[in-house]
Amino acid sequence: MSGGPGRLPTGGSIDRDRPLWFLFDGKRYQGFAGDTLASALLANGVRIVGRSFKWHRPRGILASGCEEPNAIVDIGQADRPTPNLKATQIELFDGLRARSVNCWPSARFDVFGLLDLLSRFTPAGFYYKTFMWPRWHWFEPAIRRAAGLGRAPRLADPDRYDERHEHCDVLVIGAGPAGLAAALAAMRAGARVLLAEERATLGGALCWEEQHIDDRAALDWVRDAAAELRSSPSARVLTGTTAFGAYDHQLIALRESRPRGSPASARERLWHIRARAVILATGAIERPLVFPGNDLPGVMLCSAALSYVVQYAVRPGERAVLVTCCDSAYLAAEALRARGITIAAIIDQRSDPGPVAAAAQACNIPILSGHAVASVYGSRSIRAVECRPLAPGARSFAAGAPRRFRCDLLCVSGGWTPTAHLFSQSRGRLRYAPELAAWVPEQSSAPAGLRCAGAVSGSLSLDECLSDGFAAGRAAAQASGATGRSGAIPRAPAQPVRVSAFWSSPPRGRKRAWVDLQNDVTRADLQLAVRENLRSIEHIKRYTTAGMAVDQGKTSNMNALGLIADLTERSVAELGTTTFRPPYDPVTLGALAGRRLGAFYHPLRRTPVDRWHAEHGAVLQDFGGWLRPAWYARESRSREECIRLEKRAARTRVSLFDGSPLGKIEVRGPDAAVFLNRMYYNEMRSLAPGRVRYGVMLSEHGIVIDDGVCMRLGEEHFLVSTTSGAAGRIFATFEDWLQCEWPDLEVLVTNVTPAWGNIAVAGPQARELIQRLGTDIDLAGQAFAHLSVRTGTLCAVPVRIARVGFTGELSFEINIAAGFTAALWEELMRQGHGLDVAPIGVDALQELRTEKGFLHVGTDTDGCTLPADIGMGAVLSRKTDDFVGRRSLERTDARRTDRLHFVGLASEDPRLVLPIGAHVLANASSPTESHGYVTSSCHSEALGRSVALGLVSGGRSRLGQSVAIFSQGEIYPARIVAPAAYDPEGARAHA
Amino acid sequence: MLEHGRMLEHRHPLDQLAAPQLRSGPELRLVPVTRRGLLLIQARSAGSSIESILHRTLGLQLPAPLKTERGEHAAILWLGPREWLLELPRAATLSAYTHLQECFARSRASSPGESSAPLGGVIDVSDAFAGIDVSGTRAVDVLKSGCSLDLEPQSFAVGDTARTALAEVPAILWRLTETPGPGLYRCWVERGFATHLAHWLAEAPAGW
Repeated sequence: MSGGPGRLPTGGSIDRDRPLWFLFDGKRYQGFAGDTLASALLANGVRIVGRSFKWHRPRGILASGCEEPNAIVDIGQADRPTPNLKATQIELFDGLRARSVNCWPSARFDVFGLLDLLSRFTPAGFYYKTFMWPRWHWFEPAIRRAAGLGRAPRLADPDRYDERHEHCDVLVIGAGPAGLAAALAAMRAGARVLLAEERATLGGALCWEEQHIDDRAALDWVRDAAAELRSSPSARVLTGTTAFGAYDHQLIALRESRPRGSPASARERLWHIRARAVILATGAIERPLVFPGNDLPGVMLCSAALSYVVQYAVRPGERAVLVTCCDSAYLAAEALRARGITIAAIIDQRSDPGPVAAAAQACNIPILSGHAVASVYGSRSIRAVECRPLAPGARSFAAGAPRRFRCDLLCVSGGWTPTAHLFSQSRGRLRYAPELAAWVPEQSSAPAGLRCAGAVSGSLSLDECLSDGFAAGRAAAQASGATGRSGAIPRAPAQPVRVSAFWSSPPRGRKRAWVDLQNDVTRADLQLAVRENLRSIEHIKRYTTAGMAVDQGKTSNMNALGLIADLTERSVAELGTTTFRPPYDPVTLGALAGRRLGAFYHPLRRTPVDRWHAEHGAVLQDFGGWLRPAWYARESRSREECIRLEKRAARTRVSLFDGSPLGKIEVRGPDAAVFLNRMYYNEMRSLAPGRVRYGVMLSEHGIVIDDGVCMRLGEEHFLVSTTSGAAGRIFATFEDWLQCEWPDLEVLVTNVTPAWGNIAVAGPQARELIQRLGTDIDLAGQAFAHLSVRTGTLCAVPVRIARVGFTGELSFEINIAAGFTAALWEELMRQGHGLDVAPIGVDALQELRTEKGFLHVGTDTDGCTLPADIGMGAVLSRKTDDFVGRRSLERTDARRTDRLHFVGLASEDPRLVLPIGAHVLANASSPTESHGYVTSSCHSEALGRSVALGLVSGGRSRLGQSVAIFSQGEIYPARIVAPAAYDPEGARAHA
Repeated sequence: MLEHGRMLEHRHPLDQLAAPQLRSGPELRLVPVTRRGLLLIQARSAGSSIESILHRTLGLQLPAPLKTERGEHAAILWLGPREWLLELPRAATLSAYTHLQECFARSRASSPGESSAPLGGVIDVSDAFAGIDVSGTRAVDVLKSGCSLDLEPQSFAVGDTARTALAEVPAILWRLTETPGPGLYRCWVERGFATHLAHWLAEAPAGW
């Protein structure tokens, strides 16, 4: 079991006893447990892992962490892939199927690779210029198809996702040396600690930098620290967990991923963390250098090469050249050489690398100080590199012979960029640190409770990281009230890391030098932008798209900033930097959705009779947040037929409607009548106890926001009905007025909607049915008039019965405790059997009230409807008290005569049901101006013709006029009529 | 609504959930709260008469904000400023309701000056809510997946209560005892959301 030709015979943190098979672009390879997909591909000698976004250039693995710009793959089945994962972040599992993205048929042979030949015609912003004639839209689909990354899945995601809210004293983000030290110090002091690490292993760079802490191997220290944290009940350690966003009030969002292929009940978990203190120990990302051909497979970050060699025992090449302007490369050179990789040369931009070069010199490695890469050789993979001496100032090459070195691995290190994303998202300011050639967090600008420790704050040496982290952990714990002792600070030998500001080799010829690998942005693109007089970094970023790929420029931003500063002859500090926004690393939609899928997406309320409905064929739908029967399916009958039968029951016999969702608000107290008189447009003070009045409520703008009946149960006791679904809103409005405006009113309001079930018994036999059940309430017309309410018992259970209804028939609404509602419903169905009682759904009720011309707020009104528009103008002149919205009714606009009025519309063809939404034409011959529209419409069996309601300009003064109704190219003749088509005198309800 | 009818059966919204739908293992145990009544007590303004009425009637003090007061059979939950939920045996609800209502009316009638006694009221909301007791070793983790409060003992101790959002719906949480072990959280939600909450709790990912 070799695990591939590039696998070193010994070493690494992989488990050589657990070989794993995987497929990449259809070919089978072997790796080991502990590998990432990237390390396993390198071990198998796979160099081309993807194609670039724009020009389909072959690309290889550049990095070993979340900063990887090239190695993007889709994994899983072809029709249900998880798209755009980074191979460097995928823990290998047996049977993994991965495919490269943006190429066909494979990354190795990609037909679209030809696009690279057209690169001269597709510079930054080409789509604003090159493909404008004759129309950009002709080219757009093809161009969009040719660019891009992974494929979106066509089938639903079968994985489950979880979510967790967690609170702690100290949240430590990043488990490198600084993060581990911080977590240890805080935990020992007694704080509740949560440590989140994006990689699968703890230790950060200690996993590949062979360092020493407290005089022993750093990895031993990491192991002990991890064990101490994991055994503590007050600490929680999460690996594979990326902190991707910092939000208001220091809410931090984490995404925890389970290794793919593991049997987990949830694939990912989203954590919402609210911590008293947050320590960012997010480290720094090594950046590449800009030189011609720097995108060839075989070009790799020094830190990445080191991690592949040390952590995964993989040789990414046989013969390496290192290019650098900082000390880190020399550390890598030693480790690579120790594992049998030939170091052909080290090219250092600095004229004097200093003492760090001593070890390399001792091994006779050629060190070319004051040199930079002039060109590279190779087309699908690097073969050789040529460097030249730099002129003083490093803006151009000096005269002098080029040196060429054969190599298959080119390790680059351009310095370190602090991973300050979360600091910046938290509204902390960054400061340009010339000694690091990078932007670092300005600690003084950090929001309270946020600290940075380690490389993110610019500390590049291990000893600094440890002491920095430890101090931050201790301080954070103390700030959260922990008083324990943190123990001794872990120490490491002092080893400064020096960096020089150098972004790019001097330009030479036409060869492209990449700044942003993921978006295919070159130095020439930046030059073009500057030439076209773009100056602001925010503009240049958007014009060139540098740093706008899904990696948000993790490896490219700093180089782009440096280059633009040079090109515009400003300092980097003057130029400024762009804004960091969440997410730091892409998050799956699944993780964000969590468990909010299917029925959990938008929880619906169920009525007390829910089960009966479901068992009796009800088609349940969402009406205002309640799951209600739309209609009841009957065997082998269509929806229309079923609704017709329901309507017939209500009109000719007796029907039951489950009105439990109807909003019910109790209003009590000596000022209850005064209060309601202010809340309603209608007069409510004069309402007598035991009586019921229909009323509408207005917003402060005079707009009709709700309607319903108001019942006066006692001198100081009212029950307000609101539209189903509006109960919460109206209740909150009541509280708002009482708490903020009228604290002097002695009124209590209570939303009792869920406490009561409501069954509307309607139809000519309604009285008969209720009487059969046994009640102490006299239901006779003389004793119990229409628009009255009575309290008593029904089946020996206390009830309130109101003579109100939405059908226009004799109707009783029974309010009964929710727990008894289902039993009452069943009893009504049983006793009503002989009367041929039928349940009716919302659809039938809507048609019944349409026939009767009853208005439905929100359906027959819009956001401009005033009470006068619905025919209630007379109420205003009779009411003397003030009420909410009154002043707005005095506006000039409220008195316009051409306002949209609520009217009936009668189609000239009685069989034709006017389409809802169809427009009333101002001019019958041409559909150019609308005079209103149809709001409700149906066929009325009771009338033997169609009926419709609508809002029509000046409608009430146009009763009897003929109008043309326009819908989808057809014109239908109709007449404007009064709303009530059925029983306009209202005799039936008073029966 | 306050006593059982001779013919009509009173039903709990979770009666229809079959046993396997509610979890009962050591990790997560879900038990519907039955045979408890709820009275909502409100006052328009602060004042001590409500306190003394409750003390006389139930022998309970008014709880501090976000706390509960628990007696042998009854408990008072603080719901908000001048708003409390009285939880008591269902059988005792009607008499308590009638008695409290009389007390509130008397206290206003007997006060000499106008509105010197705060307006208080009681409403039977027994059927407005449905309760589920959640216990087991994973109870707190499951609740944390749908509630953004800190539910650990340091911040949400025995006797603490909160109105919050649980599983996307409004809920009243109350920690009755320590958990894990025999401990439990009581979750009251609007009756119409009872089935949703039961399903949501029961389908919580079983381990990680």
